[in-house]
Amino acid sequence: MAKVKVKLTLKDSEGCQLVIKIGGQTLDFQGGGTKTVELDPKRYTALIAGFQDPGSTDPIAKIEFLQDQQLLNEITITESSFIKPLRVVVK
Amino acid sequence: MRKIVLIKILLFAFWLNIYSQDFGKKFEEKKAEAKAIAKDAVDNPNKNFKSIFTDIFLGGNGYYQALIKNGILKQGDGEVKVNSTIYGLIRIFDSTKREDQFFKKLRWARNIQIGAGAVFDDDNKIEAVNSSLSVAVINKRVTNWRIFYKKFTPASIAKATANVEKAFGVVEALDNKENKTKADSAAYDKAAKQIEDFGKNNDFSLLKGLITDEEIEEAKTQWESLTKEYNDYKKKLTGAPLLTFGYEGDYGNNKWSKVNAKIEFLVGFGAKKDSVRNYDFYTGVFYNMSQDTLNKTGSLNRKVFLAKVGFNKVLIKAKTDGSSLLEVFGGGEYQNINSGIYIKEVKSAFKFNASLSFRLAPNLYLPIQVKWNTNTGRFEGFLDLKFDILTLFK
Repeated sequence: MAKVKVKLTLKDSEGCQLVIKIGGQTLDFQGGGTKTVELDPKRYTALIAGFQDPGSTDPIAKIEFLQDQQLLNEITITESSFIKPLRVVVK
Repeated sequence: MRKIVLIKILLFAFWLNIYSQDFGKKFEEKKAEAKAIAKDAVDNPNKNFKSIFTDIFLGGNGYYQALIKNGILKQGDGEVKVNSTIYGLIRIFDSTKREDQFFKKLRWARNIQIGAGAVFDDDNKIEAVNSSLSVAVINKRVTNWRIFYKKFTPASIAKATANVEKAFGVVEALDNKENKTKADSAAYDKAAKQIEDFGKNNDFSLLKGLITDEEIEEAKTQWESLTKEYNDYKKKLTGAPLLTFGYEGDYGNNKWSKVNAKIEFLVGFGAKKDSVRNYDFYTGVFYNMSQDTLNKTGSLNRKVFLAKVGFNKVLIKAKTDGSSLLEVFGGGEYQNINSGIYIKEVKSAFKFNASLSFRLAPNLYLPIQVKWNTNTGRFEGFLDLKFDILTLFK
């Protein structure tokens, strides 16, 4: 099992309700921060869904997947409501 | 048809005016001029500019470009204007302050809009300065997180996306298949493209073949129900109460030539069916003090009290971003000239006011106003440009 860090950064936004599903596990975020998930080495298609700050005109959410401080993949979301796929290859 | 012809005439007149001024060329000239002035200010620190200005104009850390790009710094014919919320300035000088933990703490900075400008003479010396301040003392157009988290839970999002997760799982299985054949690779490429496209616009029909039609329909219904609730809440926020007070003033030749104070209140209302093209109630109270051209004493001799009240209704919205393209305003205004009255001018007047506003560009409107003056019994028409300042507080 490998430890993968999932980092969320929000810009021009006070918060969010965001869900990340990967390898049968679910992570949720209400604001920026980092969470860790343990995964087997393989190729994943993560599901990232949620809602950004409705009071903000231009909210930005950036999600990064990191393993041993190396970036596996990242996505920047500018939509207010979204469902996104992201391919993550865990070594 | 008449409306379309009228819009075309107005747009043509507007753009003719812009191009007759050779706007682009002048803008570039003024940009170069501003840089030259700033450089001069560095070489000669006793001149007009302070160090922060020189840093901005010389493009230190890209601030100059950032201010132009964000519409905060504007250069006109012989003048420079800065207009922004305090947050708008903070985010340019320190981009880390854009992150949520600071963004929330800086609500106060998003509620204060400041403006400053300078008019230069032919020798690049400051001839006059103007300043403005607008403070949103009540701004309910920010998210109430207690309500938001009650409406949208991780469980509700997880449930609404369960079938999409299943579709992504199909792609994941194809991706991890060992000893892939050409057909397997082709199947993966096709499926991966399907979910990539789905991620761009959340068109559920793109998931066809990955999950059953019933599962697609169920996923679509559940997600649309959640997003509708989100969009309704978002619309409710855009019509929430906003109360601002502020002033604007012009200063030159060691005296004030104009000082205007104002209080404005705006709130949306109407039945739920009107939420797409909402009604707004507007009221504003103004106290304008100015020096007329014949007055040489330097005092602000003309003082005018003005109160406005009315309703605004959005008639046409842009399909792309939902912004207003055409709106109508109806209401009344009361004006009382306390001092500095002109010959043939009436001291007090009540006018019924109606205007039709066309959006020419983001935050720029062209209102056509028709007023009926109860004192003269006449109709008066006005054509002017106005900025939608309210969007600054969003």
